[in-house]
Amino acid sequence: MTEPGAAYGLTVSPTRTAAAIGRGALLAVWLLAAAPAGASETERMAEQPAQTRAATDAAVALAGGCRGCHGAQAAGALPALDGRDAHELAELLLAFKRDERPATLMNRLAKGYSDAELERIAAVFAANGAARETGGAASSKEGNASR
Amino acid sequence: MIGRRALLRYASGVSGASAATLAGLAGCASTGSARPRIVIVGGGFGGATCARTLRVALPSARITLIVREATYTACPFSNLVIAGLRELPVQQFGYATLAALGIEVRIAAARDVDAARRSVTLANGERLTYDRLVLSPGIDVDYAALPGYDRAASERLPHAWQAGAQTLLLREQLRAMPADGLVVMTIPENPYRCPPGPYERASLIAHYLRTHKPGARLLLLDAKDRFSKMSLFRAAWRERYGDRLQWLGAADGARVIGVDADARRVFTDFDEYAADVINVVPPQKAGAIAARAGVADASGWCPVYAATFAATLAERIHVIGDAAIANAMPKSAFAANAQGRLVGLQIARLLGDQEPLDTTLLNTCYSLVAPDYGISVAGVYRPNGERWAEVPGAGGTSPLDAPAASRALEARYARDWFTAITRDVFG
Repeated sequence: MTEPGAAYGLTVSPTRTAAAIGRGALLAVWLLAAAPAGASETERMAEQPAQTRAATDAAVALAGGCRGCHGAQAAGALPALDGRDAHELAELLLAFKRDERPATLMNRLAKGYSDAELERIAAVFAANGAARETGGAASSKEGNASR
Repeated sequence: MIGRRALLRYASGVSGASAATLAGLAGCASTGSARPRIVIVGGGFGGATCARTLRVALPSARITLIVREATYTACPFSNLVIAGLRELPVQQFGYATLAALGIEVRIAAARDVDAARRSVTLANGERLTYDRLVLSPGIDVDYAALPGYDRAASERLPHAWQAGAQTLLLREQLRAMPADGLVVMTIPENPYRCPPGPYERASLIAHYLRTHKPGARLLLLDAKDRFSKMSLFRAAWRERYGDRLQWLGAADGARVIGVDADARRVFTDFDEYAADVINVVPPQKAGAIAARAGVADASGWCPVYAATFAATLAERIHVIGDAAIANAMPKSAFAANAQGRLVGLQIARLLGDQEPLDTTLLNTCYSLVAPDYGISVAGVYRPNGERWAEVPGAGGTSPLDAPAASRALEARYARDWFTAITRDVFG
């Protein structure tokens, strides 16, 4: 399966992407949520290499596909995925893809992604949870309570 | 403080990653504008999502969202309102959260776009300039396409394909019809908003008739021979509604060539039908502002470059949602939401002189055949050259032989999906 980004000449190595994404997304989210006031995010992020940014954005875009059902909060039977353990979530997605876990829909969706993409998606959700635990926790709890 | 918290909450959806992208670009002068100005026309699933994504991905931008009304009335699930199973206010959403996030929400009609001068003109004559324009205008009913069906006719033969007053009008007509009456639905050629929508509506109207008008019948006159989730719908119709619901397609001569609103009649090539209630699922085109902007082609819809949804016919204009030609991706709220999120990220990258992303999008459309009977169709899509193509081996419909428990589960997921997506967009 073609790696997203390949068509635009992005040179992130496919084999190293999954690991890089986990770090990149975590770094970026942590910076957004936990940066001390005063120093601008611009300054903090200026040193992030363009390749890492591209890989991070690509992973975020990929995980964005899930947001039409899996938002920041659970909606009835549709769980929120932020903060889930990356490994556990990746295993779940891979099990859906391989029809090893019963599903009405997830099995059909997961088959559209390479294993590496599913791992990257899991890493983005895990990183979002990490952001909450540092800076965004208060707001997300408040959000849950108010609904 | 509320705004900051709300931003963080939504940021968890878009992730700070793109804020990082932006932060990288904000330091350089490549945008030519210290504070890029983004104007988004249309406050539905596409436009509102795009505005929220940009708020996070491009924190330096001034983002103006132009919406037609202070309250948005969502189409998904409005078929339940028609069938008397849901009230309209549950379908309605405001823009308070978006405004609190720092998105400038303007309740106005966008009248014109000057692509060369990069400006949008509002109905009051005010001009807004932009660095990037996103058009998410949804559909307009094409009142020139079906003889006899103009705006006045739609007050007598409702389309209810834009939710709101039309939805309630159709519901009232169903309530007022005789218990042994006839309902006719006319269904157009592709493409139109929500491919399985007419068939979900037919199902729920049949459910209403079975419950409240025991001698009444529903006849579908379809310009097509095949439709979305066809086998699933037809099997469920036989099981649940029997002779109460009859579908005729193009091969049966059912293509509708005209209507007579005063006489409540529908004409096909060979036949004429008089009915107590006529619901015209109308021929459609992109919302009018698309044509004013010069981004719609002869088909009435807007060709776009796949990955960025940038209009092929004008620069610095992106078209998302129902108005765009997204090839294999259907015109659905789910797709519009997905496209809005992607285009927000893409605009942030483009304004930062970064390569656009080449990514994957999803669609899922649930349909309720009855309140306890849900079916779905899903697709995974990637750009293949300049077309959005379905990823082979993924997606597809609910199994034809699924047990009742599975149908009930999908009905539940359908309702939960509506909660999830409307929270994502408006909450």
